[in-house]
Amino acid sequence: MSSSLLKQFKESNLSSRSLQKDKQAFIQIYNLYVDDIYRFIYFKVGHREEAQDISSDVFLKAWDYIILNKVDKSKNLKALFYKIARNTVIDYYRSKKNTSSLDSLENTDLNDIKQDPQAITEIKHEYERILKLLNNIKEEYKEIIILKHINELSWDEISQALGKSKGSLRVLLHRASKALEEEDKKDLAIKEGKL
Amino acid sequence: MKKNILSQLHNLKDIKPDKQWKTESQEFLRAHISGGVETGVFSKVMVWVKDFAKVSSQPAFALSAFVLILVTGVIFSNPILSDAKPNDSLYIARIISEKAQLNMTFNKESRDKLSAQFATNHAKDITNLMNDPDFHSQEDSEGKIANLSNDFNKEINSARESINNINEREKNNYINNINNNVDIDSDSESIDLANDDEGLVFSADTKKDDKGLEINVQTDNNSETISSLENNETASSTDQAIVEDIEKAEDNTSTNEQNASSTLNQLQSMTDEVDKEGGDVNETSKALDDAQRLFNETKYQEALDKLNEVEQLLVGASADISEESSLE
Repeated sequence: MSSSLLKQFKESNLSSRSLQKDKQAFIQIYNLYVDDIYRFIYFKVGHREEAQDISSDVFLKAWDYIILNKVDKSKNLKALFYKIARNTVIDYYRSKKNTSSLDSLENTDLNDIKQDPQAITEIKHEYERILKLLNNIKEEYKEIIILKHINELSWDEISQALGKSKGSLRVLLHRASKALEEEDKKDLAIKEGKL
Repeated sequence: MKKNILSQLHNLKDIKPDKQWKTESQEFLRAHISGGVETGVFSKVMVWVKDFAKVSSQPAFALSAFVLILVTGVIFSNPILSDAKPNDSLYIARIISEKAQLNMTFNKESRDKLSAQFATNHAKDITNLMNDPDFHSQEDSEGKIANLSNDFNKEINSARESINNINEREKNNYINNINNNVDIDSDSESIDLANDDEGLVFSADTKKDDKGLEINVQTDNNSETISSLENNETASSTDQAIVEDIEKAEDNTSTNEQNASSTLNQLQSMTDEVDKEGGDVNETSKALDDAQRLFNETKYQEALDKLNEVEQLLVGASADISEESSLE
């Protein structure tokens, strides 16, 4: 409980300082959130290099907004990063006009997790399966599942990032979960040769 | 959602960007933001205060803070408030602090001693106040005196009740100890008899029925019964041996008598100890009675001396308890 409170306090403190244009605090915030933002973008665009470029862009844009006093200081900075990421991905799609299919996870940095090559292969297979399921459901369903179940944002943060009420987000997540379960059943049926 | 899908989704948290890219990107960001400002100490402090207020509004934090304040208050407030007198505004805070301290004392004996000490201290404070000539010259002093006298009697009764509890508990403890010791002694005696050199097991049953007294003697190899009142005249060579066995058994009986007498001596010494302990408690109760009587006779200085005496006795008793606790 105390470590969670301490983490919350640290995050809150860094956010507040960043919003007051503190460079050091912003760099620390970058270190704190870059993995989550990259993951969110990667699931949306499906390409590692592009996800990296967009992630860098998100933090640069966020800093510019802060410097230009375009950010409401009462807002959550984490939610702001997600909001910028979402809009940047939309811009990316507009310019590219192509559909995403996730890269193979060959180059993804999974060596931190397990040293055993067989375990890494198994994990990659599992990842690829769940990523395929995510890609088969609607974009808004995928988004809410990533934010809530993978990046574990609070309802307040998701609400600010997506600009929707908490009630409608709960309904959306429920539908998204059902859709993902359906996809899972279909996938298992295909594997067992029923379909 | 199914648990396995959820766990697979959680596992996707392991997908992270390259470390090299992260470092490069950070450097790029650092170069880009170099036009930013260094926050001053004052604004940093203000940010800390704001964030602390934000986090402190959470229930978990509030609960932790409440517990911390309660414990700290109990530990540190009592010495600060101990100087508060019955007519002070802080006196009620002192009473609350003492109640909290009592509630946080889990050992019943220590709690009773503490309760008795607090009650005695309150009685002393009231007596001190009554002994002050300035107090009697104040307005409404008559009403205050009546209230304080009432309070004094309540405090004395409370102290007496606590002391009686202690007394009862000590008596019960000693009785339990005596019972335990007697059990241990009787166990050791039967072991002594069973380990007799010749392996003789003696038992005497005093069954007085219409046939008269019967003595049972058991040896290693055989068991024979002598019925003294039946006058069986079966004098044979084995009779002599049986008579010798009986003599040995009588010797054992005398040893048992000696053991029983030593147990009785032990019991006597323990009873004396109980009486001595009881004597201390009685002395405290008597001193309390005297203090009450002297207070009611408005002999405040003498009542104060008696209360000091009670306090000394209680302090000595508390030291004994803490010594026992540390030994346990």
